[in-house]
Amino acid sequence: MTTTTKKFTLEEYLAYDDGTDTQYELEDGELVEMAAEAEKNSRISTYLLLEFAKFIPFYLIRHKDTEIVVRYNPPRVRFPDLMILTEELFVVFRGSKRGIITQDMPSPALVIEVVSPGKVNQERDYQYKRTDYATRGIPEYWIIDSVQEKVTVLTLVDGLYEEAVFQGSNSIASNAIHEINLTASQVLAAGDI
Amino acid sequence: MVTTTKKFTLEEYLAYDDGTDTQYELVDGELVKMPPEATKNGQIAVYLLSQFLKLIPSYLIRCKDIEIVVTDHPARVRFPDLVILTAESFAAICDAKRCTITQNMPSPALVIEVVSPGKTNEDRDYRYKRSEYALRGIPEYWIIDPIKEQVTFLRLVNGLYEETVFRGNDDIASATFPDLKLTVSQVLTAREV
Repeated sequence: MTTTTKKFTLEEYLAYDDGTDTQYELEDGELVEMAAEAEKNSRISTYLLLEFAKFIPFYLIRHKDTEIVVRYNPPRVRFPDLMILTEELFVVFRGSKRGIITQDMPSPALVIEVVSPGKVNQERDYQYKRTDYATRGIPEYWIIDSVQEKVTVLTLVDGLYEEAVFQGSNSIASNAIHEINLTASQVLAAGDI
Repeated sequence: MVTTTKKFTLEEYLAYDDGTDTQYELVDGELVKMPPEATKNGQIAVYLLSQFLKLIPSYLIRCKDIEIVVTDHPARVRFPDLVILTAESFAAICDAKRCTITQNMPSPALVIEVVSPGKTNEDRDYRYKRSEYALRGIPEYWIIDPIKEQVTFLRLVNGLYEETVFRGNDDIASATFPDLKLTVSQVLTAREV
């Protein structure tokens, strides 16, 4: 993880291009380079993408190409692995010049992070982002953890996430996507092929 | 709770004066009137203030007269019962024309809410504000609950609050104020035992 010292405003961040393909998140104005993705994690997120596509129109599914503004000032911008939009959000979002859900747009229905190994990445997904996505009003947040072999589903109830942990042959229960019928093992096995 | 329909920007809210002494919080641009305070809750807040006075200078202690901007866009502003400033946050606010900790000022050391009866008030203190004060980076948040007869102590760890609940003759163990010797009973009865 590389952290620069310059503090960006949201507008500066949106205009920023360092000439590389590096993906960043913005934490209170500071650029934070995204951790390199383990190949295993790529398979897990692609597997989920394909499963969701069985039930959800393709235009509501975003895979590693859409950012979300958590807070405008000091600016905090996150880059989830997977997002399921609502129809209401899509109507506002469609035609945007940049794939970023801004602070005034409605929340997505679901965000998913596949945890990268290492303490810093774990803290980001389990702790910081849990607060970030709750205050952004996102109704459901899944944390897929291939190291600890578990899937944490966080459901927003009156402004705070309630936690349910799924392991092994437990079916993942989702309020956001009722049709989904997946066990924790099925999801994690995508990384074990 | 009375909610108006006009949406305020943060700037409009900070300039707003309805000619009454009514205190409001601002939740995503909407004015929310603060619930009337039970006499007992007022006593508890003043008792805590008196205990903090033994440890820290009076100018760092604010009782029901300081607001905190949680997010500015959409605007969310909270009005805690008690705020303990750091020297750094005092320096930022001491010459301000309005008692508002704005989004770019350093966080206070501690905020305390004394819960008012009713689900709406409980949800606000235990759930919404728990996410909000974590996002705002406030290291400690205490929830004093005279009905459940407990004190919930929340400590910020990597952007998420970790919870400890104290009851009866438990000492409230504050990481920020280790010299504060207080039991839950003392706080709830608001007198030295």
